[in-house]
Amino acid sequence: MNVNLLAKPEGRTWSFPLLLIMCLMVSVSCQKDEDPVPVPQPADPGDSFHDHVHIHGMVMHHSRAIPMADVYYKMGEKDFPGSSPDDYDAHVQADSTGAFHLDDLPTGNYYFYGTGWDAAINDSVFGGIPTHILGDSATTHVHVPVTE
Amino acid sequence: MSVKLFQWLFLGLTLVLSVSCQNEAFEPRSDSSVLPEDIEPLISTACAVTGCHDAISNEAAAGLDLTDWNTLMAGSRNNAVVVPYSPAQSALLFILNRDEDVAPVLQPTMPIGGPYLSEEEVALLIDWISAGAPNARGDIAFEQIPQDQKLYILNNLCREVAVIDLVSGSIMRYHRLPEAQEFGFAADIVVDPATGMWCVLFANGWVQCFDVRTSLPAVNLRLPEGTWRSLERMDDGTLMAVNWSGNTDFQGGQCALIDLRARNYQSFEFPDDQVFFPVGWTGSATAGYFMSAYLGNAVYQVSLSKDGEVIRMLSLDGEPFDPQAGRLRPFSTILSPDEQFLYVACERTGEVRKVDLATGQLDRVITVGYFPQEMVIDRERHILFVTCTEDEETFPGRKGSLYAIDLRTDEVMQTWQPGYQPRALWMDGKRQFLYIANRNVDPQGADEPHHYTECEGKNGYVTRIDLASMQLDDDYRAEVSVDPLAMSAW
Repeated sequence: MNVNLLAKPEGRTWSFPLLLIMCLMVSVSCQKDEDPVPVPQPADPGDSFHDHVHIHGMVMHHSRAIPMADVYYKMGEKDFPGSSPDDYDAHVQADSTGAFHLDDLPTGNYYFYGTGWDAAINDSVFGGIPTHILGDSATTHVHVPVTE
Repeated sequence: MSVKLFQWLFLGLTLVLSVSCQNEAFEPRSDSSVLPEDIEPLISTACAVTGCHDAISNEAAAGLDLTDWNTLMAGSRNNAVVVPYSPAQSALLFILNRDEDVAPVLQPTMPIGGPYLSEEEVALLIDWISAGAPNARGDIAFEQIPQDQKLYILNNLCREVAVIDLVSGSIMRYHRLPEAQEFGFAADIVVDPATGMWCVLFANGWVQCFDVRTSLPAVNLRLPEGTWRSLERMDDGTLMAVNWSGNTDFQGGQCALIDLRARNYQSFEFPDDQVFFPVGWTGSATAGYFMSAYLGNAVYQVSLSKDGEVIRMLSLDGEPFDPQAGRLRPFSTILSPDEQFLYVACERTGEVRKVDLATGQLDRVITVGYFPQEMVIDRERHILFVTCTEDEETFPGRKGSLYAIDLRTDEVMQTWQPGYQPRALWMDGKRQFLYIANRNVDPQGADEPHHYTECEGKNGYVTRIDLASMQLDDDYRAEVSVDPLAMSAW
């Protein structure tokens, strides 16, 4: 038996529902594969969002801080930009405890990259991490993990 | 164009578009790179995210790309992060785990800032690694590695044997050794191609051998009591074990010639007025067999056909023979490629002494770093490599050095600091690498371990020299278990 699925039923037209279904199929299947973006909330109730934040960062090799490490950062970047200082917007040096501070950093996506020397293993260490600074509190903590 | 034809064309175009726009996650994949469906979400959401352990950014994340099963098994700059069947040696687990009762915990817990894996997810990871960490097809990494491509590393203080694939350089397996107290510490390891076994010598006189294909126990021999220290492969396919100190009946030590095929041995005992603390063994059927003794000032030529009788003593210092002199502390020995000379590493004086086998006289003294231990010869380049495990002078601030001696001139030609307390050596002539096992056991100054094992102590690590360039391979460092004391391969 031959069945023509596109044949018009008596007294009705298939064109409009068919077109609708087709458009739905195309739009659903072409959706980007992205996680739903969570709606950011301030860290503390009653707090408001900040346009600029203070960064308190640490350069760490596992649980050991890396004193005097060089930290490079780049705004608007989620991927590792590269190992050359030219790949970054700016540079800051960690103190003798491995801590670094940045004031008035605009919120947004950043990539932080640290390099230094781990005396415990007598070797240079480096590594980076992408960070999304929401501005949900005045200070944001950034942990830059490095390894040999 | 008729309406019907238009409708068919439109339907076809829509189908093509909808299929081609489907998200990649919906595509069936059956290649070897796919992680099992219960493990893949853990890795992809916790690790292989943008900017971290993905294909683009992994260089700044320990060089560890966790995009798929193949890259995961390739490991990080510190070598394997998942060792099939060995969750206790899989650092990926440690850095995702937060419960020390379940597995070691390595800081910082990943992903930094969370969300962290749940207890159930960590348990899933442990089960997966315990089952061999297969891919979605059920393939287990390194399952088909040829026997002559495996380097066995004995971790003395952890009673484990790490196996490295000599092609990829990856740690591919760990094998637990018997915990039995009566075995004593694991002293040496030898791979024996003739029988297809790798054998471990335990200090209390046990020799346990395992099949290289299955690593299942194959031979278990009980030697006399003592403090057995070294195991050497002889050119006729037998093994020679050396007992540092004898039992109450004879203080001079002994050797045991082991026939693995017959599963028996013949022991030779030495009187203590002649030999004290025998430790090293080398030789060949043509040149003869030579044994060093830790306290003497001579090397002993031993006749196997005369039940281990000492047939000649070769002076190492030109002084009258004294079995307890203790000035030199001869340790390991090795024949020159032409079998005309014997090189002897003398711990106490930081020297390699060269003896002329034709005259029986000391030919030369070559100064190296303190505490020379193991030696190996690159016959192609005529180079003698020596590890000086406790040397603190050649590279101040570090402990240990590797010396290269040109055998044509007997001059030191190059030195390296290959790692902390280097000791065992293995020459991979096929791929032109010299592997060095760095013990890293000195509690006062050893390198920090990065990852932990079930047993206490700092992990050791294996490094290597590229023989073509004679440079330390800066890109290679395989962290192994505690105290890698000895190495052997096919």
